[in-house]
Amino acid sequence: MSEFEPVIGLEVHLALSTKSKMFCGCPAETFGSAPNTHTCPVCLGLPGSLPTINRAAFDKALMFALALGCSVPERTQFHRKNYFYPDAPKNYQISQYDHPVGEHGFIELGGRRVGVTRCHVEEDAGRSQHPLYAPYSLVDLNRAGAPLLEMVTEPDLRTPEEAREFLNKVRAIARALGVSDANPEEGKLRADVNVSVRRPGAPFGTKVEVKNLNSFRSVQRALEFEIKRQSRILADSGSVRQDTLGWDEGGQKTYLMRTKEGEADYRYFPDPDLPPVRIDAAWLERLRADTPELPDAKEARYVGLGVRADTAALLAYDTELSSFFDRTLKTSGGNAQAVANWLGGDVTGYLNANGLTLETSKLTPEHLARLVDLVERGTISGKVAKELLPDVIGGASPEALVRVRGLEQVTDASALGSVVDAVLAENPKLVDEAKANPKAVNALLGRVIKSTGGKAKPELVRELIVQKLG
Amino acid sequence: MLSDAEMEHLKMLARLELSETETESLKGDLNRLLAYFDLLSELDTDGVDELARPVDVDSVFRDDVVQAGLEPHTVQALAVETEGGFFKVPRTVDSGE
Repeated sequence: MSEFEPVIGLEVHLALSTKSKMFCGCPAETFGSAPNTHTCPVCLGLPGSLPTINRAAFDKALMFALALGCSVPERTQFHRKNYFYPDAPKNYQISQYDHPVGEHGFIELGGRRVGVTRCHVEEDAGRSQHPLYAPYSLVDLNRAGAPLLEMVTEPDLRTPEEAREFLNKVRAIARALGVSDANPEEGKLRADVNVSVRRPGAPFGTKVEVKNLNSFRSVQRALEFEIKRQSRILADSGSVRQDTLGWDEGGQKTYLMRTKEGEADYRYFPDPDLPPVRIDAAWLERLRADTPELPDAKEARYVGLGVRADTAALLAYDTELSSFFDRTLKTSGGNAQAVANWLGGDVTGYLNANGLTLETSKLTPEHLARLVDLVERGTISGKVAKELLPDVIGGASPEALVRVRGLEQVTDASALGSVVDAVLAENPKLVDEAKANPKAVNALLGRVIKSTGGKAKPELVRELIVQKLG
Repeated sequence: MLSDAEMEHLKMLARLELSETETESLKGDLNRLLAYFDLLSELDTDGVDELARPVDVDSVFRDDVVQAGLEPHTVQALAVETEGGFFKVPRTVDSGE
């Protein structure tokens, strides 16, 4: 199969994080609500109702387009995309066609640019359910009219893993900008994939579109499946048909949804109910000024602070982690790598193991900073700090814990000296081994630290042992 | 003039099921409409801008504020049939999934 090269493009829908819908005042966030409880004449498409554009949704879409380096037109407008389906109550979707909010942008991925063909604003459809063996479907229009940004890429991706990394990056950018929660589990980021295979260097093959991909893992699996299926067809001298496929999560295979409609079938025309939008330089300037730092810039800044590249990327691509990291650094003594290690390692590990997040836990940036500083200054050992972590995550002040529990590291050589003497006296065999092999000192070191309840400073203990062994 | 294939395509897009007689009758009506557009096309429109909207305004927005919509019982009453708050419609997928 390796004689064929996949060619992949993505269509990504991001639910814009506004309070109200795209063209009416119904709430945009209706996840988990009872069906048809957040609707009005506009989003139900009742006769005589008129849409009006949500300024915040438009701002967010423009900010996203700008962040992707898209060119933004001076004048943009909405079109009607006509089709009949029960989840589209007006029998058309308000979308954009000839002048979308952004065109010709890109996202950097692994040192190269993946082209972004266009970004446009549109309204979401409702949700359908199809009860087992029933002769009917059920429609909930709560989501109908919610604001979406659709981003279409060039066919620049080459592997399923790359497609998944790209989506991770899109999510990180959307979250950093605050334009979308981009959470696939709640349907806030939905991707359709276009995939074809070809012999390297040959023209593009016939592509199919796969829809209904509700996780990044599904995107990767569906692509892997389609690449194999299409390669097998071509290897047998067959031809791939241009279809729209669905992804069967249970069976881990694609299935035929419908034979693709042509664009003309949508009979796009300018929506006469919505005036065009003029975008002037001052508006773009304001948006640029309001644009927060993007993940790539964050990563570079962290590396500049001395954080290792892999840790820097881990933090930069997670909005919660990076925001917490930045706030911790503001109040800490300044060892960025140490803070990054704690945050990316033990803190994240403890939170995950206990079903917590930085938001739901009581950990504050100040407390994490104090904990790291206590270790850095040698007041407590790393081991003690790890033992304190659950309480600190539970909201306790590390300094108070150290004071109340008397955990200050013992750095007094004379006090430690007697402990070392006692341990050496109790372990003659270990002493002999340590004299023969310097590495065996560790066994004695461990015993000394244990008998001080972890409070002895390891470097000092080692020094004392070596000294006393003569 | 519309071909038979174009008529079938339009019927599919409009989700209309028509008898042969109805199809022929509708085809006649549509062809008369098209003939009228041919008449309009005789006008010289060179140098005249496309007019997508009759009123010359732009950039009209509303603030992102949630407003009360329709009461759920009012919405339910609009539907032909409901089940558990959902609108009940003819099945839209083939499979029994």
